[in-house]
Amino acid sequence: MAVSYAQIKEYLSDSEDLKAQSLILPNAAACTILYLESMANLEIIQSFIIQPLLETPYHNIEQFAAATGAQKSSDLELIGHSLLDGYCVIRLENHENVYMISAAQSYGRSIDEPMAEQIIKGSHEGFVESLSTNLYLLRYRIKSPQFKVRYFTIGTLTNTKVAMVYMEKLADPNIVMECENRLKSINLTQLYSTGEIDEMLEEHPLSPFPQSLNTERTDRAVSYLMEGKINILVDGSATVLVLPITFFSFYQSPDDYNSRWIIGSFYRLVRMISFILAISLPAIYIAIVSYHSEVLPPGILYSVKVSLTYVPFPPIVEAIAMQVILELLKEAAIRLPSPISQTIGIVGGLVIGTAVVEAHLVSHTMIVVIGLTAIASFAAPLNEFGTSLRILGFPTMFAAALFGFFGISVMMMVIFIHLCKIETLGVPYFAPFGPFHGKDSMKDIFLRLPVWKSQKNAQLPGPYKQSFTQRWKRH
Amino acid sequence: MNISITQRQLFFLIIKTQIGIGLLSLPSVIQDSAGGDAWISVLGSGLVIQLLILVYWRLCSQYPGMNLREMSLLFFGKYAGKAVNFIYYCFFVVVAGYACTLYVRLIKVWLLPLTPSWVLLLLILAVGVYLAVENLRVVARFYEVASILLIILLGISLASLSNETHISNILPMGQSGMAHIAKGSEKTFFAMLGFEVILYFAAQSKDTPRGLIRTISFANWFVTLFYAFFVFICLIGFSQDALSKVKEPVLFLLRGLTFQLFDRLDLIFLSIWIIPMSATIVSYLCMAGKSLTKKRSAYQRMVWFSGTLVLVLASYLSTRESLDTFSKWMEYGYLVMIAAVPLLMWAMSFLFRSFYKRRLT
Repeated sequence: MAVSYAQIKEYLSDSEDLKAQSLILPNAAACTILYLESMANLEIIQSFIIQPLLETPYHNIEQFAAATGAQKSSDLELIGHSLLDGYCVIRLENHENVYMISAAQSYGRSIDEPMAEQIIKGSHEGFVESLSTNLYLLRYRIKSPQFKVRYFTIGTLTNTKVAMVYMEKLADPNIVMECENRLKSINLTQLYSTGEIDEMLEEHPLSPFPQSLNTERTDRAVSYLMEGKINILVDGSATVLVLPITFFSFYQSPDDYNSRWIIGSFYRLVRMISFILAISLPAIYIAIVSYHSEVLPPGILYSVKVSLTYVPFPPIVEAIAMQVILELLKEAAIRLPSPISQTIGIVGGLVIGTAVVEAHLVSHTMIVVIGLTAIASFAAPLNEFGTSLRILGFPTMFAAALFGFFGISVMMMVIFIHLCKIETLGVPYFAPFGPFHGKDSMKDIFLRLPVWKSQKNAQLPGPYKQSFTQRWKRH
Repeated sequence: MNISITQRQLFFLIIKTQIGIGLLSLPSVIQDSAGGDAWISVLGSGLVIQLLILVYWRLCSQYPGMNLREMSLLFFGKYAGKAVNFIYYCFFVVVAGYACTLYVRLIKVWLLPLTPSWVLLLLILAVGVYLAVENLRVVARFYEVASILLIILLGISLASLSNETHISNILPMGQSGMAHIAKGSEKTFFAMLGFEVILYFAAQSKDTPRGLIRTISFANWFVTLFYAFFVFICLIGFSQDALSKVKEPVLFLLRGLTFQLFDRLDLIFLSIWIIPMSATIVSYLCMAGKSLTKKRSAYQRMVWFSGTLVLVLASYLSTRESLDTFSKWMEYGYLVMIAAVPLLMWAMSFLFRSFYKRRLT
């Protein structure tokens, strides 16, 4: 029994954008064409479906269906979903099955550089909201038969398409299988963005550290694919989720590889220092002024103490107040149009910064310390990681206010033990520490050694030498 | 529960357990008996430990995959073996409690004179248990990361050479005579304890016997040289009179240094030293857990329980004025537990080898 128009109409809740066009085919058979006018492209339907249909002799209708790649079905649910995907449904009188032909409309923004992850040199391509465009962007860069895509549909109401991409021989099959199982068992009614997938997949919800990497940069996503990691793309979301991720990935930037290795390594080291500073600088300052002022030589101690003399609060209150003000300024400036956010910058930086010191509410040194900390946390190439660091700064500050240096050491121990404890999809978060994979994996962590050093198959051919002092010299 | 570790991880597990609170006061302790030759004493004690390690190695490689708990069950039978394991458990808890007490004393003297001991103990043990409940691989991972700090500590200690140094303090070599040097070695031995982790952790390393002896010997000589270096810089940095008066010469050595940006390197050194000191306690909590349990959940419960015991014990010990008699007893205990019992086992396995092999199958 064929599915009737009325059934389909009811299935789609009598929505008024469901259009039905009746045609009489050359052999006088009746035919109805159904589509959602919001999802389907009318031009495609008109010129590539209706017109050829009218010209096709009736006995060739199967051939027409095969040529247009039509699917046949009599399942109401499947028909309904294909309509929702922008398909056009052809219903022939006296036919058991209906034909479904893709005629989807797509409006998308053009590919441009992501705002949040800008780089100086290199590719300026970013992902967009359309899943197929994003897949194109990935495949365009890896033209390999090992590039593998698996589709999932998640969200019982939204029916969002999700793609899991990995390199067949590079990715660990156990990790791929685990990730696939987790994706399959996700049960959500709605799915809008990669953030929700991320939260469903992660293993340590209590951890302050992000356990997957969100990126809008195509070159970054591709480089992780080549390391054997998995990319997860969600239709309608311009970010790609990279799994399983390690701590040190958050300190790598595509810029490192686009400039010479000395420059790349230099910035790696700067970022590592920024990690330590962002977590511990305010805490160290608090510990010094409240417990161990003997650590400072008299010259510096004098200027620090002078600026503290008229401040009525303990250092921890100062620090927390300043951190909160900083977060307020940042949060307020993010969403404002840029001319207004400049005003915020002036009000925040100049007015609050100087006035707060002149009113003796906060000391000079504290402003310097908090400013440095904020800058250090912004030095993390991925914004969300910097925020995690600033959040971690708070417990460290409390520990310092209660126990001085001892508190900081204990807090740092807790943070590093935590980093050593967590694993994502069976991969230690703090790799390559832990199960050492040998010396090679350390070549791209604290320093970025040249490509010919860090990649095994980048060796020069036979007669040439390969070392820091002698390159391209013949043996 | 039996998660394997690599050679390198075993190395870090050993050195991080050995390097701990003992080092800070070591130079003045051995200087009392060995004088200017204290650094030779350290090397001598490394040699003794090497011999002991050979025995451990024979045991571990003859019964691969078995830790001390399983070995004692094998050698002493079901009931006596359990009793021996229980004694080991108590021993490890007491050692951890003793180490905690010294640790807290040091913190109170140098950093936080007014904070009550139990608060510090609670913090130390909470962190210790937080790490010790995890599997050995995670513990080793943390030790490995924390070992980067050893480089920083060495760097800081090198700065002390900018003080006035008197190389004449250690000359002429061998002036104090063999007997005194040996006596110094004996004292050093107790500061270098911690290599007994081999008996528990080597079982989990997937290693050939040849690789195992290389790893553990390498760890031993690393620690010995590390200690010898610190003793050496203290010997040339202080006169003998001064050295016998200060309690923590390693810290005092750094105290006088001053730089443009910061003074009191000793406080910075000590703040970093907190991490190796805590690592020692984590290792003992791990061993306490492993000495009685095999299953993961039981092990975790045991670590929690031992942590509480250590807290109670250390709180009691830190109320006592003097620990001298206690530490005397500890030293005898050490000799029995880490030298006598393994030696006995080794002798038994040597004599009745086929009997135990049969029992194993």
